[in-house]
Amino acid sequence: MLKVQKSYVTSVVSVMVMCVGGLGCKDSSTPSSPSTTATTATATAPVNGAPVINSVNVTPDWGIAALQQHAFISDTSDPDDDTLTHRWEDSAGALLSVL
Amino acid sequence: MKEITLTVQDADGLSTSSSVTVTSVSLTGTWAGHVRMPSAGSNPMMFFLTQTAGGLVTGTWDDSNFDGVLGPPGEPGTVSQDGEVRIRGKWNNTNDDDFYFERASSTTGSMIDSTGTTLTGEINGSGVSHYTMIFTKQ
Repeated sequence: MLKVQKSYVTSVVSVMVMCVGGLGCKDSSTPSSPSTTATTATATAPVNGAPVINSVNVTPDWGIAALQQHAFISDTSDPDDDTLTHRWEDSAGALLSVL
Repeated sequence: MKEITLTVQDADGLSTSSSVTVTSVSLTGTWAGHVRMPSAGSNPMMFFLTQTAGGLVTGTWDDSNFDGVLGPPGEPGTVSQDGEVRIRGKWNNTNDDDFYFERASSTTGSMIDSTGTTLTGEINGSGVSHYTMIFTKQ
């Protein structure tokens, strides 16, 4: 089974306020105000990934009409480990199975 | 050939689809072959078949000179899940013995191919034995 860990996008912004010349400074002999460092961390919500169909098969792939039963087999996964609904339909839109 | 589609959906409504194809073959239809029967010479032979529920098969045959019934009343022909066909043939307006179209005793497997267009078997009876017949669906 294919599994992908949830990914969190985290951005960190650092701002440093410094004493440059007179700006922010009373005088040169006076110790400047302590430097201030501000850090902002933002975590975004995880992005939901679409389900993945790793394989889908039918066995046997042909048979006598109205006599042969066919087994439809799939291997599926979800990157977020969500519960999946499997819906099988024929080309006419007739529902064969929902699991 | 029929396409079957699988759609997988998660709880948030995101979905993915993929398809496979499956083929269901039937005896219903017109089948054309060629036969040399003792009383009929060498002629094209047609089977006009209908497959019904449970794999029962009925119909008629025609070789240009003679004709008859396939799967007579009370004794319909059969096709099984593994593709074995057995049909009794009767003649119209003659006293010829009945014949059977059936799987050759020397073979196994389906008499119908996977595309549903070729039907292979043999005729026994009516003066012939193990007469190979290959029909093509028209």
